[in-house]
Amino acid sequence: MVSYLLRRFLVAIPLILGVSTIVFIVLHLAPGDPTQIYLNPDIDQQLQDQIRHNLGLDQPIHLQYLRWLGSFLTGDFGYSLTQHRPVSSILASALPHTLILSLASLVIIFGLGIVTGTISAVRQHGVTDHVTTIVTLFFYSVPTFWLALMFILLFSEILPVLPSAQAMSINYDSLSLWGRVVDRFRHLILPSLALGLGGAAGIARFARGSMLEALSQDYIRTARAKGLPERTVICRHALRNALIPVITLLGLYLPFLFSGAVLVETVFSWPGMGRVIVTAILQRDYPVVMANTFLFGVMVLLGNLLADVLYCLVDPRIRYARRLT
Amino acid sequence: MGENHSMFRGRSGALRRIAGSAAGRVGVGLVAALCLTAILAPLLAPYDPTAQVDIVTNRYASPSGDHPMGTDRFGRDIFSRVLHGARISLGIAVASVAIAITLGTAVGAVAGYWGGRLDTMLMRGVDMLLAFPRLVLLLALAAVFNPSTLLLVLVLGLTGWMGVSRLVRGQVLSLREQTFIEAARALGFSRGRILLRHILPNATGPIIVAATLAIADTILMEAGLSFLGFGVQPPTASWGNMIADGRATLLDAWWISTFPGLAVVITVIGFNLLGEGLRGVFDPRSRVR
Repeated sequence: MVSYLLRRFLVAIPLILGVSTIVFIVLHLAPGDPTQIYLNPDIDQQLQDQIRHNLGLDQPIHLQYLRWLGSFLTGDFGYSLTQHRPVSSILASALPHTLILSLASLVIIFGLGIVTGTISAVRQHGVTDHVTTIVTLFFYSVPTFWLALMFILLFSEILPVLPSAQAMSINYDSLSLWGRVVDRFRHLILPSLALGLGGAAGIARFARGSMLEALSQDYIRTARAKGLPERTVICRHALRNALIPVITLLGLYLPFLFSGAVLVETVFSWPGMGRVIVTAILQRDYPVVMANTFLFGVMVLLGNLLADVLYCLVDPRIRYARRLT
Repeated sequence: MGENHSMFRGRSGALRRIAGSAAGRVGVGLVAALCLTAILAPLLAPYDPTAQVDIVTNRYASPSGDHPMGTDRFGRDIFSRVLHGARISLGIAVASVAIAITLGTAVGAVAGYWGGRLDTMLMRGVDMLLAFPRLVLLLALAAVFNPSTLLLVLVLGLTGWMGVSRLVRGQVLSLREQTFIEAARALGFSRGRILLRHILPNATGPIIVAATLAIADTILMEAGLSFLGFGVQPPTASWGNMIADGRATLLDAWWISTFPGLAVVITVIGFNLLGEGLRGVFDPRSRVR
């Protein structure tokens, strides 16, 4: 298993390099350069050239790429062209927010999705099943950012119970420790629901199918025949087997989740990577865009690795088969 | 639905079989209605979608008989804009999915049929692109060039083909081992001919299903991009930029964002159901029990 995972990890490295190369090329194909954002066009041409030279923007594109790659591999993400501080510090402040939001959404996606799908499968063709099917179809098809807006409308205007923006209140610093935890949690509810419900609906649909498949197996009939209570049959025998393929979806859902995060963060003014990248793209802040993009790619690939590890741990057949090959 | 029904009894077996499932029926109905709306938008819309009728008395009008979905900050009729938005959203989605499917099929077929190092290289490239949240890739592409509808179609097409190429590759890999392909090879047909005339026609089912589901996906992506301001540019009405338009006044004029969003939901539901119905037709085993 270790060698298999190591191989997967080694494969991920050229992938990351490839991804960042693509972004680098695309961004530099664009007309104009970042100095146009903050330089007064009336200033002396010589000075403009000097600034471009200092930033390395007058060098050929392949040299800019190599230079960037070199410093980047040594952990230096460069300097933001518009915020005048290191990119790493921008990312360091944005990354935790995106991770918190994504993790909360993942809990919703898999928790709610698996529970709903299982109930739906157990009550196949019942009223619960039909209602769930329609509800999941709705959430599966809803644009995350619109759902986010509707949540704001419903839960912070019509029924003002939850905050609709930022990750914490203005008076956060004056709160007690417990108050801070509650405050964070309350701010997290709407964004993570808006981000997670679509994915949860997808998992619910998948889990329902997977569960129905498992329930039709012979070992379920055996379990029932030997008189096990229905609850045990479903939870211990069917669900455990049905969940194995669901794990592989973790890797598949991550890019989807991060795409949604960009939109949800924008709607809720959530101070995460999504908002950073949108602002940076608008301002042509190349170093920030590239580092951010890279980070998204790394998180997706790490997520895929994690899914592989979990899959190996959960399914002994995989472990065994991989050892043989 | 009543009038649609006669359509299913016609020659087309596929349509009749889609109509066999409730999901398929609703999907066909919704998509047909949407296509009609998109085509007939100028006839159906009570107002010009960009006309600013009497901005003083008529802005932010709440839904009423005159304006079933209200008006926006320029006094434009939301209902008319939603109808015209169907043209934009469906048009962009269909065109870009056509690009994505063509590209994906070409890459997948070549990779699957030629195999070897070419296959490895192409699929590594696909992995590379897939490691990327699509919206981030789209943002990077859409933001560096001047926004235009043509560009939008292109970037949506260029970021949407990877899944299709994997699907087609899988199909080709399993089909090329079949005996009828061996027979075609024995007859001395060229690779290109075998691929185009014998393998791909047998893979159309899954490709059509993927295309239908991709339209649903692309409509969501386009709406997201337009919402962020990188997609369809105002004053052209697209559902995404209309939702963005209503965001600032969401709490005072809820109708501006709400109705275009519902239009997106209904459209995406329609294509998802149609895709499921089609999957049931082409692959009976997958039919939802």
